[in-house]
Amino acid sequence: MMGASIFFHGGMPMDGATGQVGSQLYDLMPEHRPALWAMGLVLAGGVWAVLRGRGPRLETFRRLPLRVRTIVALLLVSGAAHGGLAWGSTGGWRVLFAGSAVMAVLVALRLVDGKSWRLWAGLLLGGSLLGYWKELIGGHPGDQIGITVKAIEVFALYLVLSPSPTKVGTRRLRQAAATAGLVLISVLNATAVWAGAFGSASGDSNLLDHHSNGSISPGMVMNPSGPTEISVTQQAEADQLWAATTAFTNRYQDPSVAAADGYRVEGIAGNDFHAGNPEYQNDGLMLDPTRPENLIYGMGPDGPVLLGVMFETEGLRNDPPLTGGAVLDWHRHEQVCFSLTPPGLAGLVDPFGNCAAGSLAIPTTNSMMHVWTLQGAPTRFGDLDEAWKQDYLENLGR
Amino acid sequence: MNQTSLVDGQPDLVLAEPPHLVIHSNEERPRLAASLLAFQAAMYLVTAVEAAAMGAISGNAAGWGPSILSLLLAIALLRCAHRVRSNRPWRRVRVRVLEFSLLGWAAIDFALAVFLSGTWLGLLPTLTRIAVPATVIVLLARKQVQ
Repeated sequence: MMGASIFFHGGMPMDGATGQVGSQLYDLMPEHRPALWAMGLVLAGGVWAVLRGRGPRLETFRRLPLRVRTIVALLLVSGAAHGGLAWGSTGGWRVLFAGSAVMAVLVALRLVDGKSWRLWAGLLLGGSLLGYWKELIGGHPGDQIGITVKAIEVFALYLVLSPSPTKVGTRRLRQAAATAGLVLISVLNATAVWAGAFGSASGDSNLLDHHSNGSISPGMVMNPSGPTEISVTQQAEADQLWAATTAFTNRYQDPSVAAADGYRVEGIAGNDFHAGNPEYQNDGLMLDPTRPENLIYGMGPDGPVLLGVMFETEGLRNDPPLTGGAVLDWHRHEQVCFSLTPPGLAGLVDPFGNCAAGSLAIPTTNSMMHVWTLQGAPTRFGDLDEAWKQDYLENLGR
Repeated sequence: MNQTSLVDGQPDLVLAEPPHLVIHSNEERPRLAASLLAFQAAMYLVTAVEAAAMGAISGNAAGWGPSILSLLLAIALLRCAHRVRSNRPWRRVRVRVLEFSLLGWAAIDFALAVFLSGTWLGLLPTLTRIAVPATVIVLLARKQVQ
């Protein structure tokens, strides 16, 4: 399990079996695993064939220009991935993937044999990208295998569109057009992947499945602490925690009192302002109702309103306490980019594994859990509906 | 038939073969490196757009600095791609310095991830942030084949 998962979600299994569920954007769908093995096999077999293999086609391949050899290799890797995807699919998908795999091999052979290939390769790679984008925009989330294959195909398409070195006359113009096309296709590809990831996100881990809607929002990992069954004792612990937290933090309705205790309340704005307390975040205590690590304020008509608190675990490797079990609905964030210019959160790791320049990729944060202390909230722990929060704050003055 | 390379003034090896088998040994590797540089530039342009969108949506100023840096980096990579493609060897040092810098930054990032959370960053970061710059460096570093 860990052998394959080291490439995904920062090496942590996120399949729900461990109680951890994250976005498919950073994960590998189980039915796509044959594609990973197929790509690996073709790469290893290709290297062996080039170094040790014999045969007229291999001899011809060795004498091809490097750019053409690269296109052949990329087409074969893409074909292998589609073959693996066909293996893990059923019905129409299996036929489509198998057809793509065969086409990739045939076009690769055309390159080796010196037949006209540019149009065929362009059609195959362009069609594969368009088909993928259609699925993503239709609300199906991409995973690391799909995104990897498309990145490979984007680069292959760029090489196909780039003019031959022997081309004279319009070579510079064609090269510039190919590079502009590469940039455009890359941006469209990323946009489609984000659209698929966010469009399919329901936030309900029970809805997590394969080629249909129902996935966690990118950057979120839900329920990182074990079983989901709730015992009477755990419910009692959660109720006790909520009551103690609500009673103690009532004093922080006045932000100046919170500031005196070390909370960073400057600049309260919006519906979800988290005021952290650096001392409490590093005091070695977790889930202490008298020392919550963050207070959550919203801006009402007459000023800041205390909505609740957010408890945090200390250190990235520590699991949250078992108190309250699944009632407490702990979550983490994953694949976060932390900017150094200026310091702060700069978004999520992008579908191709990059953070913007000058920022660091954080594979996982510590665990966090919201407790909503305001009376009448539809939930005491976890996610509070944004629309409800908005209505509550707007209606306070009436 | 020989033609003079712009790389080192030495004659290129051009074989009497069918057109698709013609080898331009002195230019092939830099051209592929230039293509990878353009691919890298496209990746950073994507992150520039994403970070700018993040900054605009969230109102978080932390998104703008990386966005501008990514844009500048993408432009630098595109210029490098152009220079390498136009075969000016004395400028390849700059490209290597840039790629080693990116590789170094990636190494810091990966090491921090392992140190802080005990995890590897993943398959695509390994490909785009380690494999691609390393390949560019290798392609530009290898001696020309005569």
